[in-house]
Amino acid sequence: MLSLYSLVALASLLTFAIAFLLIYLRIERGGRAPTLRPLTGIASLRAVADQAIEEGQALHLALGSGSLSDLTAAETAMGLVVLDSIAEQANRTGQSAIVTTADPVSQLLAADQLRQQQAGRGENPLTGARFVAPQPAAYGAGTRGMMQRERLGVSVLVGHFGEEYLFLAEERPGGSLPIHQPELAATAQVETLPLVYLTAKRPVLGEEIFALGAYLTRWPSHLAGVVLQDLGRIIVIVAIVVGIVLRAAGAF
Amino acid sequence: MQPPADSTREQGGGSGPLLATVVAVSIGILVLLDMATDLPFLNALGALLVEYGLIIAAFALLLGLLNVLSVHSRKVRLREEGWPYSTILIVTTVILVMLGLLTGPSGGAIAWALNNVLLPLQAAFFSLLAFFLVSIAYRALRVTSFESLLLVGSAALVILGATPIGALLGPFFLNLREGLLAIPAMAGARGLLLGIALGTIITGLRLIFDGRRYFR
Amino acid sequence: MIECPNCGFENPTSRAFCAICGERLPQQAAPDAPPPEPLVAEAPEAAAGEGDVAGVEWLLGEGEPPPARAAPDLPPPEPDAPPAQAGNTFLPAWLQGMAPEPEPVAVPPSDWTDALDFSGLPDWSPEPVPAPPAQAVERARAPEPDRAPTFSTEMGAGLLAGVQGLIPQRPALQLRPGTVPFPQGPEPAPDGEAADLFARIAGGGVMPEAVVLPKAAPRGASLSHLLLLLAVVVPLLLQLVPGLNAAIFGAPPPLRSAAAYAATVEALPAEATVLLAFDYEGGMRDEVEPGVVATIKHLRALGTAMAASPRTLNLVAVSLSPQGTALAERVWAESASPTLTWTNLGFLPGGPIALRTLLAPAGTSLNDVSLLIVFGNETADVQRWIEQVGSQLPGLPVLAVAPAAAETALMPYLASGQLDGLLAGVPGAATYEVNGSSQLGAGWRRIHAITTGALLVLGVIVAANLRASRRERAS
Repeated sequence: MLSLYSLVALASLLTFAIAFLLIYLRIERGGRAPTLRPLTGIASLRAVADQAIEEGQALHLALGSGSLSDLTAAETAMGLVVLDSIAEQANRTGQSAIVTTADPVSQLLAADQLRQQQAGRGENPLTGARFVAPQPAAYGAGTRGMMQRERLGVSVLVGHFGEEYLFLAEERPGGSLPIHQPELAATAQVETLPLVYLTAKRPVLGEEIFALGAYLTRWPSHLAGVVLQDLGRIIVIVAIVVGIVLRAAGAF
Repeated sequence: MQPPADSTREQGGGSGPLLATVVAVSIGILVLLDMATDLPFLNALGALLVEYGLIIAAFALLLGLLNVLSVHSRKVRLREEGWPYSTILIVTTVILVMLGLLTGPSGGAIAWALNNVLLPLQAAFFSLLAFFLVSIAYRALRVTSFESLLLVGSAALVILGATPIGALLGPFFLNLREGLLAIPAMAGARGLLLGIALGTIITGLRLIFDGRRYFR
Repeated sequence: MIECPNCGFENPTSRAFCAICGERLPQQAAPDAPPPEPLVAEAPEAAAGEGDVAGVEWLLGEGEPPPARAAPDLPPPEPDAPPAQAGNTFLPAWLQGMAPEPEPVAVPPSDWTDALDFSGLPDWSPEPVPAPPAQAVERARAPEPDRAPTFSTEMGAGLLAGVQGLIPQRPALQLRPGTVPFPQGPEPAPDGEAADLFARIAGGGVMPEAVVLPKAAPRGASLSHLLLLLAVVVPLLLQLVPGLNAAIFGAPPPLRSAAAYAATVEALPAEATVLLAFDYEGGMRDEVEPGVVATIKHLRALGTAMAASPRTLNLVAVSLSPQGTALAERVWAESASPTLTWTNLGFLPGGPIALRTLLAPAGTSLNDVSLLIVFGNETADVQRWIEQVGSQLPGLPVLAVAPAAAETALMPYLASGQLDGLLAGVPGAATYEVNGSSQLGAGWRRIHAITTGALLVLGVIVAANLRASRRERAS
């Protein structure tokens, strides 16, 4: 027996799934990609890897304290998409990329991506993708220490971050070992957004994180996701307005 | 705009990825149906799948532990910078795992270590955030325009409004604080939460349908 | 010609990367592709003489050409020849003309790499390649006569032989012959390290002195340091005198979300099971635990015979964070009471998946739970309970204790009724202690320290603004 709640949830999920497939097919078959509005910072993400070369430093990508088996899975997955893009760029130029994560599963996936990218370069992927600790505080502390010891000057933070974000992004006043300003930081965690806004060179706020893949890869599936996200937004707005009107008219 | 050809990036299109996609999609649909329906068969199947999920999640923690140990033992072997700390980490891990196996996960020794080492350390570490926040406040919260004045002003009101100062300021300021939280802040939070929910759903769909490029 | 897969630019076949966008070009493994001139094999000295090429090559970190680039039918390069030629393709378009023609240069092979200290290089850098002798570098950097005649102002032959041109001839870069030992200074500052590294890589002759980068001004100045110190010391001092804080500041104001929290706890039926989710971590203990302890004390008070309507309460603890189990035991040890029964279900790995097992008919049934209280680290901890459990059991009241930072993000759930009450951080706990549970505890003790700290932070903001405006006026 279906409850009304489950029925609505299933129906909207089904609608989204069909719409996703339709848009995906349209983009892939037609070869026409939607025009993306310029999003601050994302366009220049490729330049970040070049900057790492100029500074002679390894590129650091922090996937945050989220995991792939939680509400934070979508953010963490976007971190892995960004990793794919950055690692390719870094590998092209012979640069090392270091990935830190608080989730063992995403560590495995990141190690696998690095292994594919760095095939033949003989690097140990386990040193490239590192599981630091499962707890947010320990993750923040461990990653901060790593950033300072290994002098990771160019860091990109994409994923789920709580308060521990500050450990990766902010220098202690008068500190001797520097923590560099993140080149790009993206999270959907609402309470971390002000910190991201105030500290990162290129802040990517809220749901913009889910558009990162479309901007970086331009693969049809990512583009279809962005289009569907916009459509969904319009539907939600219309639903809100209709609801307000009906409520004001005393319909419920 | 022409999507770039990514034929070089396909890692082989054998039956493995397709099988994985089929398994992922069908398990996802089964669990969804279990959530939505009340059929005993589906419910039992859903419960079984969810338990598999739990076991895999627990296994992932073990995997993480092994990864940490391997990274740090490599550090010690190669005498990389900071290797003494890695030694401490390995020794402590082994001791705590032994104690945990002997006395149970909330046994005396583990509880002692938690209460006297881990909790004070974590609390001290997070209290450092106060200094970082003050540093940011000093650097970034500059009143240069009307908007930034609004930002700093409402920050002060929200911080102080919940403390006894708020009570001293009187009911007008209290109501102003609640109004700030209930109207502009909530509008923003709702917009963000709705957008994030949409993004999460669509990322999930993308992962299910685009199985060949899981997480890529 | 190879068409770039990214931008479509037609690149010469010798290129490995697009000249326009830098995209890696697909390799043409066609058997009729002309093999590159075997320059490398011709003369090892010549290859060694290609200072620029070798230098750029190993700067790029490509120790040897990736296997993908080697066409299968190409003759393998001589094993002892440095892999310099492949590096040509790495040069950007504007540098291609600079690569010198391979001529035998009668320069004895130099082993100046011995004089350099490579110990400071990070471990990802490639093995040091024998670098060319300095003269060769100079020759390589100097403009090629037949390619760039405009550079030369001295006429070479005929009537005008030896006549100087208008512009004096000078090499673009003044290089010193021989090896200049890199100065052994004190340990360079961390910021200068990258520049230092570059100086070493760029070669001994170019950098006669250590690069000293201007030391970055410390963020925040002495005034803010003083205020920081005050923010720690003043609240501590105020704590020393009992009653002083309350006398200065008084009681916290009634917060609507905390009042709703207290009312929901009060509304428990005569016999009830309360599910407590201990999902916070040790790091957030100071923010969350005052609310947790106050809640359990309130429940304990409801359980005693002294209460207006005594209740029989079963507390069931569960946690989705590994530390939660131990934290629950800790809190229970502090506020245990014979009037309450306590069951700790322990740690459930798997986040929201674990919540599904709680709802599954085979697992613990949540149908007889009268109240769910989530003690969370952040918004997401509370959200997953609301979404997975609250949505499935619409009649179940859900309360939350969370850090103050989560208040904004949880407000929509409060307003929609998915969350019935919220204690946000220490202020929420203090309000609850004063107005709800009528037992003063950690929240009451800490609210004044937080007030003092908040006032001082505002002081820092005002001071920073005053300082900035004064500096602006001065300039």
